[in-house]
Amino acid sequence: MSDQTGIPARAQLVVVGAGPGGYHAAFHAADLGLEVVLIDPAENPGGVCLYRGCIPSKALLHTAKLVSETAEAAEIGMRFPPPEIDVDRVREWKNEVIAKLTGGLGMKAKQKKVRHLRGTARLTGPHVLRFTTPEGDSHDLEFEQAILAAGSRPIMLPGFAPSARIMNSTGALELQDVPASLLVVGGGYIGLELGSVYAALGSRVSVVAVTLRQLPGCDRDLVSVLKRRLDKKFAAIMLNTKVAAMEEGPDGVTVTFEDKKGSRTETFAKVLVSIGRRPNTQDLGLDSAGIAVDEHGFVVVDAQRRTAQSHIFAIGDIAGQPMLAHKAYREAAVAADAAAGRKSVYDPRAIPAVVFTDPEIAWCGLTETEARAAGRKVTTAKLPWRGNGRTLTLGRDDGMTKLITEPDSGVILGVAMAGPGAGELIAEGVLAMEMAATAEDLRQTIHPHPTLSETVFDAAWSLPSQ
Amino acid sequence: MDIIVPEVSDGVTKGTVISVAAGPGDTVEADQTLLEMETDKAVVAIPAPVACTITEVLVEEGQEISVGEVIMRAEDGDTAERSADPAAGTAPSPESEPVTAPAPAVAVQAPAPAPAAPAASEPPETPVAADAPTEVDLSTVRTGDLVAPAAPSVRRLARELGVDIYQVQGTGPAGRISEDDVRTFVRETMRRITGGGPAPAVTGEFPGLHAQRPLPDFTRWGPVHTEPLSKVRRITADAMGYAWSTIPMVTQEDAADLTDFERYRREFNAKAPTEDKLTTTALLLKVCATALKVFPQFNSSLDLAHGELILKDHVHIGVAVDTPGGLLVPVVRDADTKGVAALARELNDLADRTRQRRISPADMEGGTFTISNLGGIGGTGFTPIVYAPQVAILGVSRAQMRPTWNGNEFAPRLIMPLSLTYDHRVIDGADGARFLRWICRAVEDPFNLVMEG
Repeated sequence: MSDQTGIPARAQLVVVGAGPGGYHAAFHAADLGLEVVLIDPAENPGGVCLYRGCIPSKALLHTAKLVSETAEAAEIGMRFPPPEIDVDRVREWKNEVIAKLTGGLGMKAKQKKVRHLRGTARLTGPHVLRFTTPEGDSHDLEFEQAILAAGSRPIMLPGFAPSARIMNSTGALELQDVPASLLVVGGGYIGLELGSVYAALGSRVSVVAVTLRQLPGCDRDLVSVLKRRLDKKFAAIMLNTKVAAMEEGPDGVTVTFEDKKGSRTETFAKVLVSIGRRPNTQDLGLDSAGIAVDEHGFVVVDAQRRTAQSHIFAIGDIAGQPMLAHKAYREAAVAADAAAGRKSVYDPRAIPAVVFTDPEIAWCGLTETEARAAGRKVTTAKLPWRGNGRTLTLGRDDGMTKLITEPDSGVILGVAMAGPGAGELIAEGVLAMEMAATAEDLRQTIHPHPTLSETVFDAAWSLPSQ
Repeated sequence: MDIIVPEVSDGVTKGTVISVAAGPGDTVEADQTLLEMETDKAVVAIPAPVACTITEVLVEEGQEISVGEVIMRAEDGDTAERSADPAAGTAPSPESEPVTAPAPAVAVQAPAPAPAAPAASEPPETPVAADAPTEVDLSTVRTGDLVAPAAPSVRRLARELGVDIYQVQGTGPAGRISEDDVRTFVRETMRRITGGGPAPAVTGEFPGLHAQRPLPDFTRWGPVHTEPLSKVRRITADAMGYAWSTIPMVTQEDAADLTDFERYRREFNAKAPTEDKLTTTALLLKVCATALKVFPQFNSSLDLAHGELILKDHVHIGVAVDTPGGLLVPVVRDADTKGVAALARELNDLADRTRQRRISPADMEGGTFTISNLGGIGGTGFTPIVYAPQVAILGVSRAQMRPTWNGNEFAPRLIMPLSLTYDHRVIDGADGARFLRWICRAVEDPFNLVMEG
């Protein structure tokens, strides 16, 4: 918890934002002997990830998984009655998870003697920022070095503000109720995850996206593994379709869709707009410190995550794609190291991406789509999970593991998978890529039997040996 | 078709063939390595531009080749030129040709606490700076497979050792770089720099400045023997190398008519006891001490780090003394406050003690200017090297009787050549000329000393 008494006028290192990037930077810098002030509006560190992102969504997705598993269990001779869902208790449990994690971080900040100040910060010069408490009191804080980790926020459709019926991801995660019908606008991972939650809890969920397919950037064969299940769970998936108008009425939101066939309207109890996120760089006072942002609003940084002002670092969502907590976490370590005079650089050979739907989709490194776009020759192994013992014993038969390798050397360029637990399995692929492993390395590594990880091993064996 | 040396990297125009990997009759694929060339930046592989059969190899190992030169002839394919992949580079490798450097007046300087001598062999040449370890690049953003194929721990090790991992040749599968590869790279680089010997003395300010290029095997041309460098010789080499490679120096020549002083000196010495004997150096001590008060910038040190010129309000003049153990530079304190007779007495004593090695390092510290008089040995002129952090040094050669036009006729006059070397960063050419002219006038007519000093 923060302590607002005796706000310091000076700090050796100030960290702005206490999401995974900010709190890890603060803790690591403190471990390295720096005197750290951490500024964030929330009571405890956590940021979007813990309060309004990764963690609450995963808690809710767990309930969704229980619903579908108990329903599908009939197939293997285990019949459960349909669940009685106590939405209040689900919400409470989700909030308990958040409180436990953020409270733990608050304790950790205390232990590490990181001074957490509740409020917001805005640079007013290269070595000074204006700190404003939630009560509106302002103080100038001089700093030797700063790490900016202000995160990002959901983009709303132009002309709309979040309301009870038109939600962004933050509103959807609050789980006010389970609406009879929900329209998810956007085909990205956030919409698919939250759509899955509401569908499992009983909403009739439709998805609309302007893109030709879901999860742009992810290989089509992986998406199709997911789509087979989503088609059953979602009432409609409208691709290549535009939301032309939305009107909020007493009974719901009337949405006008436009596609190449024409336009039509439909009314939904609620709408979730998840069309992307925007870095929080507008209100940081970057101009007053002479720090540049690119055309997407991301702060321009070097390999140590130093901005144009070399004593000011930027990490996480404000420092470029991908806007993922684990990427911020690594950047945090680099920036804190650099602030303490160490020679770290941010040079990941692979950054994993995970979509926590059922089945999960996870990948790292080069995708087939990217390889094709770049005209790059690759050798790919695709291994369906239906031949994997563990998959079948889980009562599943869907899933795929894919290895993308350099043709001559067998160096692993990309790993991708779809299937239950893919998010956990991808870690092996990330390690292999960071170590510059070849397919031969995977073939020579003993994988435990019977597990889903054998799909990686078997995929490697299906590649030509060098 | 002709296979030529492609452009391998910016600024590289030539290199030495270190291995030839294809011979006549060999069929090679596109991009297959034909030979490896060592440039002053890296070892680069020259690949086959297209699949072809080699018919003739025109170069051999050790041969120097230039960009554009035909190295092989081949059949099939066209002559489309391709660039070799610069990433194939490995260790930086300075050329092994030793350089002979001018070895002038280094002999007159001797940093404390012992002998110094001419750097007769190779003083380090500034080009080593290009090969000296540079700071590791911490700013270029690289992700994905643009990142070196090495484990994160190995990449970190390289950064901490100051190794650019993109220069390291991986020996693992598909060029994976191991910790051993990084260590081997460091070892190889050190070996190339030191020629296999112990690491060169590092000055601190300019690490690696005095690195040496690899030496050839001299036994190829005849027997050799070696003797270890004394610690003092190492320090001397370091100090001279530092001065030579960092200070832009100018040597100003002039000559002073010593005839009158010489007459006075002979008369004086005829009556004086041995320990009071007057020498030309003693007179020059007084003259220079006075000149340094008139021209204070010659009695200074340059502090670039703080953007200051440090002007010394004291005048301590070092005098190079030839001793059996080498040249030493004891320092005469507060030369500006002493008369010529006192300076002569002190100098005689100091020189005696120096020759007998009865002086302490403290006697050789703190000089603000140096005089090196080689007149006793001979010579008509030389270019002394400024003894950093001083900014000027006066070299004295043998005075000789010369016919001098006095306005009516040629008269025999004793002429003493003087060479003033100064740090051109601190002292302008005109001031250098004025300073030395002032000294000459003071020697010719000591009345000037009294008037201006």
